[in-house]
Amino acid sequence: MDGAAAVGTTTKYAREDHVHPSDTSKAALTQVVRYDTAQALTAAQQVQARANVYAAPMDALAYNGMQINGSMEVCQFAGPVTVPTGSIGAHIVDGWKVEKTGTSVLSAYQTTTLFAGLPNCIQFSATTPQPTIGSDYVRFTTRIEGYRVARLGWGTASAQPVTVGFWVRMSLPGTYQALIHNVDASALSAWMPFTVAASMVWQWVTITFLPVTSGTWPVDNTTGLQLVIEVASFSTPNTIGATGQYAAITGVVVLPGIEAPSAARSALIMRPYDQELVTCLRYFEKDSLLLQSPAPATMSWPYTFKAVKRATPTITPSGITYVNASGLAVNSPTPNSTSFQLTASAGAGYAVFSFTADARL
Amino acid sequence: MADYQLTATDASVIRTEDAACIPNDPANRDWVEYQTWLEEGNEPDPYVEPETPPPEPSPEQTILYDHENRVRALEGQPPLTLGDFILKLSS
Repeated sequence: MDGAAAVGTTTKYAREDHVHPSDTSKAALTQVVRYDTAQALTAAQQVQARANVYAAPMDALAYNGMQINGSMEVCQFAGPVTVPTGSIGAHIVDGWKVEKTGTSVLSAYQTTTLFAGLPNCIQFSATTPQPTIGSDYVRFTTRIEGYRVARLGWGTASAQPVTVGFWVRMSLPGTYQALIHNVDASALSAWMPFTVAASMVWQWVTITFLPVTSGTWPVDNTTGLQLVIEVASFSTPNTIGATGQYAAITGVVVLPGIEAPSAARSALIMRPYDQELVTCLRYFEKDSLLLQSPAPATMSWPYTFKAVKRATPTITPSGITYVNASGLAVNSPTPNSTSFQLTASAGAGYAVFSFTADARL
Repeated sequence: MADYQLTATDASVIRTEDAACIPNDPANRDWVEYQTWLEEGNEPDPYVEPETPPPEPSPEQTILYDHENRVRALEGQPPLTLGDFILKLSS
């Protein structure tokens, strides 16, 4: 109806069996994309609707998600990480840490999800529980480089919202919360609550963070922003209150704008392992070498990293075995390469060792 | 022993705990941590020159070394080490 009904005043009459022609120039409401209410469009209708208005599907945008290793697949570290008592942060997989305060001791690790599309997740459980959490907390965190988040314009009047989507599985249902802040937490979004409805069931969560127009949000090779998913605190259920409780996440996407993929499509938009690994190598890599000197002398060997690092990395040799040699040293590291120096005391003296190049945020 | 040790140049420092080479790059979080440590009034250990290996003897020097020690044995003197013998030759 497009107006109010009225009996009219004209003296001209129509017969009761008169017929109004239908207006074939107008589409029925079931044939249009509406912006005033949700519609249950079929996949084919969604594709046609996007094509008609030249809108990229969410999948295309999400593939360029700002997150690193959101599928939790890349793990260049060995085995579970024990996170001791105190104020500690420890990497679980590439790009993802568990950060905590308090007296608990946690075991944090990469494990399987047992559902299709996203085979890996990160999870922790308390080996030493903290029944009363007080002002302490446990959080999953990831730092994202400024170059990746520059498009958001945070800290400016043109700042854009950010939408985060992730799968979560908790032993304790209840309301948890997430936050985005800059490197020193001098500028931050509002804490955004999310509800976990059931215990030990994977659940898809989406949160849209309003743009933050103030503060300093670097757009270079330093930390642009940090995403925090708080899973134990006085504001959330205490997932470290007893042994056997746990928190797990996977399938994280961090997208500019206000749209998130649906749960059904979330696994389809994650970047594959091979591409994610290259990105992770920008921040961390490890290798093993054998350096052998042909004569008793101090010699240097150049080493080019598998990927150019975000910044000049910290080089840490370990597990060194010397034979007629000594004094392994690291020289001249750059974001591209480094060199190793060894002093041989006899011809064919050598050293075998492993090393890490760490340029993590 | 301090938490850090200087190197031959100011391009890096060594973290004592794990012998990590930390480069002088303000974007490196370990370097930022080192700067904070310095600002707290701490001082790193000085640079220590690594030991240089003794030169390896040539075949001729090895023959002379064996000859010298045989002579010293006849004279009732203790044998020289190879390193001492090479130093004696070069002096």
